[in-house]
Amino acid sequence: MKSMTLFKHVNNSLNPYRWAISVLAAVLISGLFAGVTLESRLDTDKKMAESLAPYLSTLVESSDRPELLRVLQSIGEATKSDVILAQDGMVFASSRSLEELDRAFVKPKTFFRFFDIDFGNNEIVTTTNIKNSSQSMGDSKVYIISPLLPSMKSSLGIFLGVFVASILISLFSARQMRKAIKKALRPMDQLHAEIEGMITDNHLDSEPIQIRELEEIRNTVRSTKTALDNAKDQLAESKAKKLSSDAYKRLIHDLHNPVSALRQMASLAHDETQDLETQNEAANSISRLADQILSQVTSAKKNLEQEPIALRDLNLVDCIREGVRQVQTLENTKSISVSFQDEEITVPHDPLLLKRAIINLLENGIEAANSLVRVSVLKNDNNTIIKVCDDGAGMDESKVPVYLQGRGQSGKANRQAFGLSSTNHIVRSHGGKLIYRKSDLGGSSFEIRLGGI
Amino acid sequence: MFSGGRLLLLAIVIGFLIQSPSYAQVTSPAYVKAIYSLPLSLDPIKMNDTASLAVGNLIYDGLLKFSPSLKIEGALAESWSTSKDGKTLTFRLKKNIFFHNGDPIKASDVEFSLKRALSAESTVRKFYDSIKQIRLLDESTLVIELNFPFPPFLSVLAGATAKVLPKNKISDSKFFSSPIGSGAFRFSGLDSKKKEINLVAFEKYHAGVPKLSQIILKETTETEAIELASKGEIHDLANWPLTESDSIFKLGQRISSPVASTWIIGLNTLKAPFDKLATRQLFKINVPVDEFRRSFYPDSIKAYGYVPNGLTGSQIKVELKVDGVQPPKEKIAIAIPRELARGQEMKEMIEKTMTSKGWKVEVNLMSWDQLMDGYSKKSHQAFLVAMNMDYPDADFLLKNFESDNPDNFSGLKNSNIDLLLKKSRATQDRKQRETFYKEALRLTEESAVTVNLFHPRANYWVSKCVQNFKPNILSDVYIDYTKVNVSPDCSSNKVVQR
Repeated sequence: MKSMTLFKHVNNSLNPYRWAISVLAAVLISGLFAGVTLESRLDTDKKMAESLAPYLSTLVESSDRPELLRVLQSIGEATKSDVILAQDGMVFASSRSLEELDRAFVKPKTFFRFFDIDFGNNEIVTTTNIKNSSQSMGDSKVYIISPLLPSMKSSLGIFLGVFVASILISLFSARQMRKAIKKALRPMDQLHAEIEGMITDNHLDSEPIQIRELEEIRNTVRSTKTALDNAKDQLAESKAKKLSSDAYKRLIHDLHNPVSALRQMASLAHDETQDLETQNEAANSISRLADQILSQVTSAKKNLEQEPIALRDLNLVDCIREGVRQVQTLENTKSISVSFQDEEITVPHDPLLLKRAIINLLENGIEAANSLVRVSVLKNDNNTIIKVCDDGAGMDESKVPVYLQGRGQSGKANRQAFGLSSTNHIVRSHGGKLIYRKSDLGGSSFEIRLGGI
Repeated sequence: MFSGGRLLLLAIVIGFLIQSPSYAQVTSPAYVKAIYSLPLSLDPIKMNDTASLAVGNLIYDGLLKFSPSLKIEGALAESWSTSKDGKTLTFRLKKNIFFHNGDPIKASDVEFSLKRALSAESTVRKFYDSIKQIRLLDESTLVIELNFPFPPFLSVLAGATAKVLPKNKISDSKFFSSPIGSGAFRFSGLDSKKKEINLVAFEKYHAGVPKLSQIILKETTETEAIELASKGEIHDLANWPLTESDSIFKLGQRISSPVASTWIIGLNTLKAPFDKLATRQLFKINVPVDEFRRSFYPDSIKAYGYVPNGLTGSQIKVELKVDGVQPPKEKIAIAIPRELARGQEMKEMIEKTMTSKGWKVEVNLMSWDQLMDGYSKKSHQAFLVAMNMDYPDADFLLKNFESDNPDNFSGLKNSNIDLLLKKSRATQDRKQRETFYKEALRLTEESAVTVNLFHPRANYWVSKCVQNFKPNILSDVYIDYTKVNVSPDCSSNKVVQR
């Protein structure tokens, strides 16, 4: 899933509601304004007719049609509408046409009623009752028939105006809301920076976070980090002890055979039952065995000095690149090819020690190779494998354990070969294994396996 | 070799020849309006019939006029005001108003014309008898003082008899043979043979030149008029209250509106047996009013009283009860205008129904001028007429029953009615006047001098080519012909080729 900032997440989550509410509010407000305007406009017409009702009633009772026609004409002109007065269903006076006088009043078809106002296809009809005081006469009604579109024009204008204004206000409000969200999330950014600083040990000038919950989280993270560091130190200490113990055990174990051989040779050298040649050979061996023991002791001493201090989740690729770079700085006659499965392979390790181990393998590879050393890193579910291969002559596989124990002799230089022993020790101290194979390039292939193994 | 000037002249001549056919087309055609009778008089103060009033309203203008919905508007008057007591009215005339002969119209012409309406020769004197004095303030301002605050007076001045004539021409004895007015149309001639009056548009008319360049008023009967209209020889049948189901409407436009009119059978109290109240009342009860209305004018409005619907007093309903009265033995003659399309059917229906009720009724179809002659001389026992209103107020109709009114067709003399009318004219209070009117109308109904047949709904037929024809709810007399026009691209109208 693609990750996003909290601000964007909050903004995106609010967006549908914000727009829906804005549009809905705009429609409702503008509808309300338009409705009130229309109602007010038509109510004014109705009020005018109502206020004239007593006079109209007098004219109806007097049957004064000429005067009524003049009045209705005047109302019609003022309201820009047709005004019809009907008595007992017959048109008594009309501002519209003289032809409909004394004929049955046909009310326009209406399909919608809003308060006392009827809406037709092309007109709006407001009806006002006029009570006649004369009992012999039926009540009269004044119909004001206004053309729909011109009557709605001002209301539609107000509707659109208010709608646009509401939308603009909503847009402004949305912009302000975005700013407010950003501002509200600043403590989160502060918390994030604080935690980041704790991880990288890059402590910033810490300021209290205004949000209590976030401040508590920061404190919790800080105390957890301190506890974790302490635990790590304790773990490293106990691990170091264990490694030392293991190293001693291995040394004792490794020394057992040479010391036994030394005693046997010493016994043979002094056994008069043996022939002289055997005694001389045994005496000579004593010196060689003593050197070997001394060599193992020296190697063990070196390894014990290189105990890992702390394992951290860091990018292994960086560690290997640095190792390769250091080796290439010193030796550039043979090429080192590098291939990584991924640019970011995070594995818990001590970068200084592991780099030392890799440099050892690379130096051995360069020393043994004809022209090419290849470094590759693979990662599967459980393990991370660092493979260093060369195209040299390869090693006698039976002697590999000897080298790993630090008893081997360098093939090219006349010196003890401590490199493999040291590398083996570092890999083991990381909980891993160092495995030798024949390389597909023809020479040696050393694999450092880290992780579940 | 042609010079440049000659070439230009040739081009103009060719252009004119090319243009001339269309030029002929845009000339507006004569508008033919059928009327049931030529005017009995062209003198406004002697007009008492619709035909005369309709023609007069085209030729003459007054101070005021009615809009289609009876709003009072200025005609020659630009503005007017009424004093608080309602007894002084001041009028200011428009500028640049002229008679048809080109003379400017002055306030003195108005003064003279109104005073003429008050003279002994005036048959419409009753409309103006509220005038106490007329004063001139200057050439374009005059003041009319009334004896009493007669509220309908502005309506009287907007009516078809309150017309302004040229003071210095009226002394000519032949003035009304070729009258000079200030209306939208100028009198051009009377063709007695064709029974046509020819009017032409007045170019200097104060409200703008009318769209119709010529109007021909043609006398004919309703039947003939419909026939001519169906042949496309007439534009306008507005003089007849046709029914909406009439087939002629399939060929033209039907423009409908109520009009302030009542069709009545007038009963003459000066003639036996209608000199007896009980006989009149029984006759009124027995006339098949509803049947008549449904048979001949089904879209008309039922008449509950004498005053048309929509005017004060129209709500008066009087139930007459006559016990133990029998129809008289003498024959009763009812005069009906022959010009009515179904006059014969009306005669048969009325005679048959009344006979079945024990009356000896004879319906006589006669020409309009004959009928009006008898009406004026009060020689008819009963007569069928349409009482049109000159101004929209019950006062106009109630005047017919004033004892001293020479135009009182029924000869009724009722001092209570006289008193109520006098009171109503003296009050400005609308409700008070309404009360007086209602009481006067109740007394009139009880007097049974009119059988109120119906209030007509005018269904005006006009040709499909006619545009901007607007009815007037007072009467067809007041239709504004200044805005009427004939569609220039209307090819279906034969009268265009006249």
